[in-house]
Amino acid sequence: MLLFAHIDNTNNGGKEDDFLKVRKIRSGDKAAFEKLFFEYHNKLIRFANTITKSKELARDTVQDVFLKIWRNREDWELHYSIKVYLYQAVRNQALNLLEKKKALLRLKKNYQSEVESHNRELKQDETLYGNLTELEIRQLKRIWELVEEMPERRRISFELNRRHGFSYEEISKVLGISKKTVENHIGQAIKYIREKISSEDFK
Amino acid sequence: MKEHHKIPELKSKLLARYLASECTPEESKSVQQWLAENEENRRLMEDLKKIWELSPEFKSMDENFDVELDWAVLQSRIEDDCDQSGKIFDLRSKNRKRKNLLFLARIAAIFIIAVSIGIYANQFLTSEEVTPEPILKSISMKKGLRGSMTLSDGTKVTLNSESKIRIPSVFKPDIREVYLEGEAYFDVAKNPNKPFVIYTRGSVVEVLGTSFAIRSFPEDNEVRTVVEEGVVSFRGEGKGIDDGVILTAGKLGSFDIKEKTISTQQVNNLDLYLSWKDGYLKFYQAPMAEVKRQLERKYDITVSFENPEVSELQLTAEFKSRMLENVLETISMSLGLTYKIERDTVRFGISKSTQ
Repeated sequence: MLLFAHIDNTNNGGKEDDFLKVRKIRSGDKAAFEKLFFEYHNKLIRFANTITKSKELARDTVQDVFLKIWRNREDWELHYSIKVYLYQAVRNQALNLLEKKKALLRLKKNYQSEVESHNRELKQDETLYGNLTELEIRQLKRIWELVEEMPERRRISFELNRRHGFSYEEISKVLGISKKTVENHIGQAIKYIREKISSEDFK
Repeated sequence: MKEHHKIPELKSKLLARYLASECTPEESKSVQQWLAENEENRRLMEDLKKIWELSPEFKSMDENFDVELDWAVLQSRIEDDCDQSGKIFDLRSKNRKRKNLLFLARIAAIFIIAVSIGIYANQFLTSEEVTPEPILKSISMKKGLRGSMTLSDGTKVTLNSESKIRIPSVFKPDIREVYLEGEAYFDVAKNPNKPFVIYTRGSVVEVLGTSFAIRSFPEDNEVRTVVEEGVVSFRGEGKGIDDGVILTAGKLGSFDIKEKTISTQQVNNLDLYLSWKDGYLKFYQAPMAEVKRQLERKYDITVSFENPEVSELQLTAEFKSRMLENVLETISMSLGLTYKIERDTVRFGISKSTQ
């Protein structure tokens, strides 16, 4: 198993590259925009899906974010990095769409049933984990079930660090909180998981 | 991980920094000291590290989403920017309450498109009866793109570059109707009680469940339907099944757009008409003008001929590679041509050695 599977590649050189990309897109370079879309599309949908719990809504979220970027490209200001900008925008839009959807439906049942089917999906796909023992697979699934129970910012902090390779600083930019708060969330999250798992019967 | 240990000594923030290897030397030292205190602390840290290392392995949600399809949808949303909802067109709506300016403008715009492709004109002018309002979703593929989708009835559609399909968000109870511009391959889900009907440039293709391809590009003089499996009715718009032709597997029907007549022929190599859907080009005695069109469509490039004679050459070739360079190489070799790539333009010339 890889100890640090995610390598943080947002060094300063990468950021300069980001500013160049943004300049291109600001000037209407469709090819640069297309490249950006292809680069982030799948990752962003997966991230959005952890918020919306609906693939369709996650897809719409990412569509909306890119549509807005293109529409307002001339005013696009980058403050940190493209990655941070996109994840921040996706989170905001996902929460937006989720609110709208809930308000629109007002059918709690519908939403509930989707959440349930989302959780069920976490339990399938044994074939993906050929390199892990059965115990590890069960623990892994339990870890992410427990993450689902956490408050939104804690959940997203853990998700972004462990599955999207974000540094604590990047997470603090995405969520608009201090780096120390992010560290606190991560520490709390891992303690919580450990407490739960060790109190449960994992043999 | 059986016994339960609290971690009061190790603060959450410090723990997070330690796990991410972001500790200062002093912090590292204090953690080491804490670990040295007793076996319990060490076992606890082992548990935490285990969770830390295991957690990124989670792959259940690493599903792949069709980026080409979504890019195409985004493209049409960008183009339809005047339309607020983006990808959804409101067609044939009879809801009088929505008679605002924007709505009228939208209808007018759609009306022009509809008349110009000769599809909706009929329904529009004779829509007296109250039918449920179908919302048509429009999906199009730009040059260089190709995409597949599964419709709500299970029918699979592969859309070629520069092609567009309009699909109702919900099919009517008794019929499945779609509208096509360009080229598409259909693998229609069987449902004898609900025929699948495709309208394109004044012609109608009706099936009950089969697979076939239709080609109906604006620059073509004909609409072409090739049947891979099953039976298809192919006819002019407004005509009954008896007035059209019945195409069976291996048959090609050509609808002459001007004359409104249909001719049929047997096709020996179906692949010539279907290979595009898998991303491969195939030609049999095809004029270079046709080869040029297909290359331009597939690779989103411009093809030009330095010598006019090139357009009169015929190509028979089967490409095993989708890479543009390989395709150009094969064409040049088999016809004795040279090619140059300048930005998005490919120029074919006659090779000096064969002149």
